[in-house]
Amino acid sequence: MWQMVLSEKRDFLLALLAGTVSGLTAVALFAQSGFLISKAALLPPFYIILILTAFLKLFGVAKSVSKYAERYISHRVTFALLEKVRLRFFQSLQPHAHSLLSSYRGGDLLTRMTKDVDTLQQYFLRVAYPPLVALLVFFGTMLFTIWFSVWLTLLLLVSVILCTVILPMLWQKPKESMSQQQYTEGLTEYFFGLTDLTVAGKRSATEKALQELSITFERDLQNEDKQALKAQLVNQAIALLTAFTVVVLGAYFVANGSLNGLYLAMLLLIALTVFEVAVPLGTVPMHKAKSTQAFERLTAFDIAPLPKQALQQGNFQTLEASSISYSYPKSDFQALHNVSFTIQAGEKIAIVGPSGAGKSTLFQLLIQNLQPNAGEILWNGQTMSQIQHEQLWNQMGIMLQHNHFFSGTVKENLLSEQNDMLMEEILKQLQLPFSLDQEVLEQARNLSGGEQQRLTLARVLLREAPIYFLDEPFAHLDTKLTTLCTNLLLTLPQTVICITHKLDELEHFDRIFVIHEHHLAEVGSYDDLMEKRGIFYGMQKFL
Amino acid sequence: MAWLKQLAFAEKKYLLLFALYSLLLAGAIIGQAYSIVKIVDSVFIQQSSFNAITPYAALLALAICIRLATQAFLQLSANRYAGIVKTKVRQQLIAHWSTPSTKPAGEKIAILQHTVQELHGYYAHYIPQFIKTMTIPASIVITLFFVHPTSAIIMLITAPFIPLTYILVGIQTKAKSEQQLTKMNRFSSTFLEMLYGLQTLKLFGKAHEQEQKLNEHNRQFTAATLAVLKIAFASTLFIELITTLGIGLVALEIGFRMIVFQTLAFAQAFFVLTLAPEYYQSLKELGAAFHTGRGSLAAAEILQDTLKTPKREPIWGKEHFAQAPFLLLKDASIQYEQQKIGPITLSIPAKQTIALVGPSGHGKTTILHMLAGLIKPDEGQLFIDEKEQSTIEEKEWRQEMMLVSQKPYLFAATLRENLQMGANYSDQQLLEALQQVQLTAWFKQLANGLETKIGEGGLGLSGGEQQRVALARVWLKKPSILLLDEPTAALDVQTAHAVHQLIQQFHHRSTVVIVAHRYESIAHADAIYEVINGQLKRGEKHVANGFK
Repeated sequence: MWQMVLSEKRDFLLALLAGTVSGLTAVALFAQSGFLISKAALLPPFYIILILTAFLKLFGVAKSVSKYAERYISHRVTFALLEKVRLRFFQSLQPHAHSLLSSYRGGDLLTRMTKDVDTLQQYFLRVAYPPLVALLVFFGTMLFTIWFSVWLTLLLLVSVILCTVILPMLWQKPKESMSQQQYTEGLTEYFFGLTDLTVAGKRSATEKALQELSITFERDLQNEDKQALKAQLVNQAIALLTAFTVVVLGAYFVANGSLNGLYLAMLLLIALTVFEVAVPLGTVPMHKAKSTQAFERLTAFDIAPLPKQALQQGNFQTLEASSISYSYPKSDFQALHNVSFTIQAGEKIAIVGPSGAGKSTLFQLLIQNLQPNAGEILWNGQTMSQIQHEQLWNQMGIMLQHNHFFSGTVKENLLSEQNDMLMEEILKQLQLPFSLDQEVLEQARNLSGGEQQRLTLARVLLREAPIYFLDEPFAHLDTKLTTLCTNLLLTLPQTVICITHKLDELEHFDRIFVIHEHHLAEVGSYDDLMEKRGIFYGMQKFL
Repeated sequence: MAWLKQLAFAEKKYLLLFALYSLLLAGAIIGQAYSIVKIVDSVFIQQSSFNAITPYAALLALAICIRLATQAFLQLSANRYAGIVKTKVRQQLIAHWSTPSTKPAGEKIAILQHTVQELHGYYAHYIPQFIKTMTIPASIVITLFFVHPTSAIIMLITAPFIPLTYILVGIQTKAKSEQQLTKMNRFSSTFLEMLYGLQTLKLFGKAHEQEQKLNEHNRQFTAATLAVLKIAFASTLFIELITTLGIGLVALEIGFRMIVFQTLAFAQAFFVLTLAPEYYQSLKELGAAFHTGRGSLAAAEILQDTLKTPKREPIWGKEHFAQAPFLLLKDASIQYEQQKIGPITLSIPAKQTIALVGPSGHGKTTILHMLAGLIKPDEGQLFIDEKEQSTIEEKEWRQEMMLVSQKPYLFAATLRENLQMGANYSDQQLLEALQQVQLTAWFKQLANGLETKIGEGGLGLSGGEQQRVALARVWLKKPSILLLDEPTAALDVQTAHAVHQLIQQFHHRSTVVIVAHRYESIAHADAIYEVINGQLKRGEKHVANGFK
């Protein structure tokens, strides 16, 4: 993190300078008012008082202005740093986004990460430069006080070291509590299961349990606050104790004549003021621990290895699965069991089966969003899991079940470099009455489900890739449009692998894969399968 | 604001405690200044011996201890106070959301955790600081009136400029800064949105373009934030200047008195000068706390709006009803924000099966929820055996009624617990239930049998398997009122067939309502109704035939 801070060297130094000036002028302001009042007691000529008062004003204004500058610059640095953090995070997440987002609760994970980025805001403002400012201010102050009393200066030094070095080491790192996660899990179960809980008459018991969880959650939140409060109070105690010692020791020195009484008030006010920069240091370790945790979580992906092998030259010929199995993390069930097949270039394959039988899992494995636990998938005989993702995706046109749209024009959402003519032609073929510069709202709110699906299909069709993977591309289309799109796909020269639950357009696919109860139950052409009178036949019969 | 205050005053004990601590704190501050002044005065002006200062040193030590202790207690009780209010609000929200509603669960959880937490600033900082500021400066000014009235008057005159500045700056920039604050709040979600789009973009080799877009957003966000902060910092700058001016005026006047008129002694002068910064400090702190408190306002608005939406929790009574009762929904209607369901009148004779069909999103599920006594209609009534629902005993109703929702939820527990749902069935019964819903083959491959842990939301089970577990619950419970919401939507044709046979067992034994889109599901219904735009239309059997 320091490296990033240092990349903003100029602003960092400026913030440091402004902070130091503001700290020192504050000390000077109070020192001078103490001196002024003591001097006045000795009835000096009036012009001396006037001069001193003028200085007082000057320090006052300088203090306020430098404080403003410090705040402004330090926040500017912070936001510049956050910009970098976000960009870096985005870049480091990029190679892993597909597997993160397709996993269960990927969204939650992302939410937590964006919060982590926001946590880092505290790093610069509360961790990186305040201790330096405090050191500089103390150093400057002690250079001044040493002219008046060596002993009192030594006293200040001891307190400073206690405050800035020794105590922060003693503060324990905050323990990460589980209560928030438990509370979230409890709430998730409650809200999703509300109907079932009410019907089973178990709601009030669950509500009581939730209330307990919310109290624990709140208590842990408060413990965090308490820790910060404790650190701050201890620092303040040291500050006040120092002031106390300065007064008593100073009074002793004055009484035995080794210190001029004129300076006692001044030294005391210095001691009281200089610690104002030290009190916030109590929370430094806490913020540091928090931002370090956040930073570590954010950079964790850099470590995960990515496949590096280059894709072997040559046109696409075969895609082969050899006894692949997959079970989701933390689950006892095998979502896909021992599946093998070979697909030749140009084949049109439909994957059918009841929902939850494993079709989508197979799809995710084929497009490299998931990796099989056993067995392997081969592209032209090369193990796919070792090939660089970008190179593979370059060869694929992929249509997911849930596709993302961006606010912008239709053309931008086609994500293609093809010429406008071709784009317009494909839109026309898919019976989408859009012009290329028509607006698409965020998440394509202004398009119907069917329009969104056809727009995604257009995206895929515009890609000059040898193989297309489509997951339920026709789910929101009516029969007429389904026929249109199916026919379009079947006349393509490309290899097409299409998951579908619509069973009425399957006659013209080369082969049909029937996934049933988590394995590949039947393979064959429509006629073969109907003749066989197996599972597929049963599915058709009940239609 | 009124809502926040109302909650604040609900805990009067804490407010009194804050006032008490503040008074103690004020006493400690004044005591500290007094003893310091006495020590310096006796060695510097009176030239007395070191021994003479001992009582004052003791007093100083005492004042410091009290100051630290009260500060600690004040902040601790402020935290506790905020905790109590937040827990109360959370409880209110949970109670408010106890009936099925359209708000997504994720949003509710975010409100319960983060939005409620945003109230912390108001209760833990703003309110205690407000009481502190009401007490400490007043105590200081009153004390100074006895020591040196002119200084007290100067301080009184300059004080109002500080809140005035906050108000003036606030009025000037309120609209602008609020606008930008919402922009700031929205940025995190925009960032999130961009991360979501990343998957699509990567598959199309376009991720780098998104990087530029992110940079652009990033820059705009920084500029907007800095603009808001500039205003906030400028107002603190102005207040610092006022403070400096105030202290300067006090010092100047003291200087004149001491030297020109020689009417003021060192001790008094020093006392005034030690207390003056404390006085202004407390006023400034209120300003800072005011900013923190403002952050809670937006959260309060969201919470208030949430709690304002009508609550449809039914009330229950003590009356009994016959098994498989006659159900009547009379002139029932529900007004959602976007949509009105009803008024409808629907009667379901005892032991009859009726089917509700129609396009999705037109109110079928809401009608089912009203029949289940899960939500109370805004107008109209549910009658069970001709008795008003509100007179019926809830426990008995729960025992006799079963509703299978469109997406039944499986809890993070074992398969056994998920089937039993709090009741007690033998292993034999459980296995037979699994057999009934054709889960036997699936069950046999589970290594841990009935003790297999099922993840949150049925992780690892397919939609069809989840729905069949829920239907197994039906078979176990054998309810006399059975409400089914698209029971076969996630099933393949063969399994659906088996499930229909299961449902058949309840035909003319229980009162059954089935929401469906498959012809097979409604083939045996005694009556069919179509729900369109929240209205009921009686359909004939031939409607069902043409429905396929």
